[in-house]
Amino acid sequence: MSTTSRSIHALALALLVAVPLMSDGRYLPTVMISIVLLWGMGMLFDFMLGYLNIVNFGMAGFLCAGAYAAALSTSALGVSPWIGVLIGGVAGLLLGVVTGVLTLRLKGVYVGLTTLFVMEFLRFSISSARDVTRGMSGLTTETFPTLFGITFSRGDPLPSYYLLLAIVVAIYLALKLIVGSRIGLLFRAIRDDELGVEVLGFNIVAYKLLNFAIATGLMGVIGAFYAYYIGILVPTPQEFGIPRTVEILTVAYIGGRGTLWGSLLGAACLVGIQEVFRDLEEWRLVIYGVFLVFVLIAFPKGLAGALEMLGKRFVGSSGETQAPSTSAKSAA
Amino acid sequence: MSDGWIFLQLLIDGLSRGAMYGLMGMGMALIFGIVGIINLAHGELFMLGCFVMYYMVVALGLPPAVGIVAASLCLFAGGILIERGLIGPLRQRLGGAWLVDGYVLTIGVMIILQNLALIAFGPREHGVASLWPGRHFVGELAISNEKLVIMVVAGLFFAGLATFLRRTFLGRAIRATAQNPAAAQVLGIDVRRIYTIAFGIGSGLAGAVGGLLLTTYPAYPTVGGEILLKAFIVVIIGGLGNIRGAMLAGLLLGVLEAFSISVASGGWQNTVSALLVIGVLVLRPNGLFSSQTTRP
Amino acid sequence: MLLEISNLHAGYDRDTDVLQGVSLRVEPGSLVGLIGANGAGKSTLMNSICGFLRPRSGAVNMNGRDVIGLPPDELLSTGVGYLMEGHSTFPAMTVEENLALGCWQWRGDRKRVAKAVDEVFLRSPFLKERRLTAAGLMSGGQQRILEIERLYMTEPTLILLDEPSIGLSPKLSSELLARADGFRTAGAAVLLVDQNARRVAELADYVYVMQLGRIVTEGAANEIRKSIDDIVREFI
Repeated sequence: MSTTSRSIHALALALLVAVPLMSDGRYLPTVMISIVLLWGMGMLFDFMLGYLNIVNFGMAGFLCAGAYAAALSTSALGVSPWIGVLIGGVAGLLLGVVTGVLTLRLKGVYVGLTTLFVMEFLRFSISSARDVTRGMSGLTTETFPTLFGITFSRGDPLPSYYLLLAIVVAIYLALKLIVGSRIGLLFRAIRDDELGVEVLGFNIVAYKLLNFAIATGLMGVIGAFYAYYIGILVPTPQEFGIPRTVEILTVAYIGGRGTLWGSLLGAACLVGIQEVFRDLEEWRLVIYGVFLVFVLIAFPKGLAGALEMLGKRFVGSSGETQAPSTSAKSAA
Repeated sequence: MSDGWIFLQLLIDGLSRGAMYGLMGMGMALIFGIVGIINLAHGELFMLGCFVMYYMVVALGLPPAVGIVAASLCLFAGGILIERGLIGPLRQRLGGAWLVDGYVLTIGVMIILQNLALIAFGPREHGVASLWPGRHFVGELAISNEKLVIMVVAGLFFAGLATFLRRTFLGRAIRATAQNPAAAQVLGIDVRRIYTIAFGIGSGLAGAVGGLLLTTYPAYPTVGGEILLKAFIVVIIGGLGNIRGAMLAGLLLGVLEAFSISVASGGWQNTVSALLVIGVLVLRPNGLFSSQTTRP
Repeated sequence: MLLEISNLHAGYDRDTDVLQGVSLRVEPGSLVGLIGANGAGKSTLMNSICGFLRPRSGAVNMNGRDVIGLPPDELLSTGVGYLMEGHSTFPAMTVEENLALGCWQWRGDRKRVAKAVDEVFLRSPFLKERRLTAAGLMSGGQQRILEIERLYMTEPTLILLDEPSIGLSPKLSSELLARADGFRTAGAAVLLVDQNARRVAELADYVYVMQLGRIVTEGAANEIRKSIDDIVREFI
């Protein structure tokens, strides 16, 4: 890590820690929880799409698996929520591995659609299995028990926020480590030239499964946190269906793919626009939609890409990245 | 009612339900087959069609047929604007690597349209009890005019689209562009224009279907979510981009639903159809009815 | 001069030029051959002429008109017909539908379309027999002939052929090259790229030899023929 990068990371972390303390009350911590949750989920989507080109339109399904596994293990089996977080991770991972195996031979959009329907399958099953999950009536969940004298209550979200921040920052660091390692290098090599890497004798399927397992397992962990934090789980599309996946997707796209930290920008934009323009009501999401379309067309690499370019120019190294536009055919 | 009549009644109900699903998937299949993106704003185009229909028929008192034509024309124009203004430029910019970006772009369109509709019309449902009142009896079989119209219109739309794609020069150019855009260009076909037209036709279809189904799906801003999911299911089972497949898959799904509702109650139908879709995607990615050469 | 290319630079990446200053001329009614090893830049040159790849600098003139950067569909109206490397049929459409699209430029004139299709059927009767067959179901050689016939229906004054005989049996391959020769007889100019360098040199009026993005040798075909063995050895 360069000094610049190190100081930017420190600054960002300081901001994330300090912002909720700037005013009393529940408002800022609640908003920050939304941002960091979305960052975590967007980052995991990015870990799949941006590094290995796996299109996962079913992200919310793995969130759902983690959330319900954790909540049910606590309510039905009396497992401590601290263990429940791990159970959520395992549930996400198991569903992820199954989905990964199902989609191994599929390409691009087919992977996306399969994951999307795995998500819907899970959601429909949960809403139908009322005896176990209470369906659309909603499953109430426990809060995290007191730890080292810190109590987690729904009245005061600040401790929950720091717990989440710790989890998501840990995920960020872990993913960063993976991405920087030999495995990450192979991920990117496969993304850019799958056939080429296969010819070199690497087992592409294994690497894809590994990526799938890591991302979905961690998604399950986030889902488990979400369950204990939110208090009630309802299998609506807004919680665990297409709208939720759409949220995650747009956060990763606005932030910029292949960066991991870009999703933090995207999440801040999504939540920020909604909070800052609170008086505009429905217009907020119109603004967000227009913003998304604008970023897609104007900055194909997202805000992170735009910032990196700006940074390069600021530091002075020349880096004009305008690809030549070919009209129809790209190869000879 | 004897078993035979019940069976027939369920079959008719299923077919009319299936005709609706087929119609929902047809426009999406066309857009995927030609333009190469899954249009996630498809449900919102449908929703706008519902509103056009509502205002034409309920507010202005015009006949339903006029409403459907108006809905399809409005959405055709809207589709052309979306393609020219957003999708086309993105394709130009990203060339071969634009697939997922194209979906996210349609997500942006979806968010914008949904919330603009919320602002313009509010969350209330704008519906109508019946567009074509009355019913016919054949023996013990009851068929409402509504269902009859839906089935007939579905047949007409499908035959019309198929004839257009097969028999006209423009239709052939659209298919040619889908199969080999570079070769089409070399023959003088302006493929960018073709993409725009195809997207326009797909959206016009979504609008027309939204108008046609106003009785079943009243107009409200988030009606598109359910439509999108059904269209997805139909388009996948029929084979991505396969228009005939989408229609057949719609009918199949409708009949299956009609019979399964009569056999078992509860919400497990959705679970089963999701499972079916996963099965098709994994085992027969080209759809249930595909043969190698019958892509559009 | 029908086609005149001067000092063309083009490439796919930002910083590497595949073509490094290519100049080439085709006179009306002549058959010009372009030969070179794999990767010499022949296809890149073809793509640059036809508007699939925007050259970085240089000029492409067709009948004295600057056509550089013109998209392929507009280039057709200047009289350029292009047979792409690889298959370019519409595989799920019938032979007849494929041929009809060769008349896209005058699609309003039904009689003219019908007449043009009939002429093709007269020249290549097997296409008439298979007119309702999906093009993708025919053999590679048959598809190539369909492509060439369809190209000829656009009534080009300059025909660019990119590896027309690749992947075909020697017999079919020489039949196809004979067709290229037939175009010249019918009055069109031909720019022919083919891996069969000897055969190209036999057919052509004038030959260019390309290597690493540059024209290294050029001359009247009878001159080139004398040294063809040395040239071909260079490729390997």
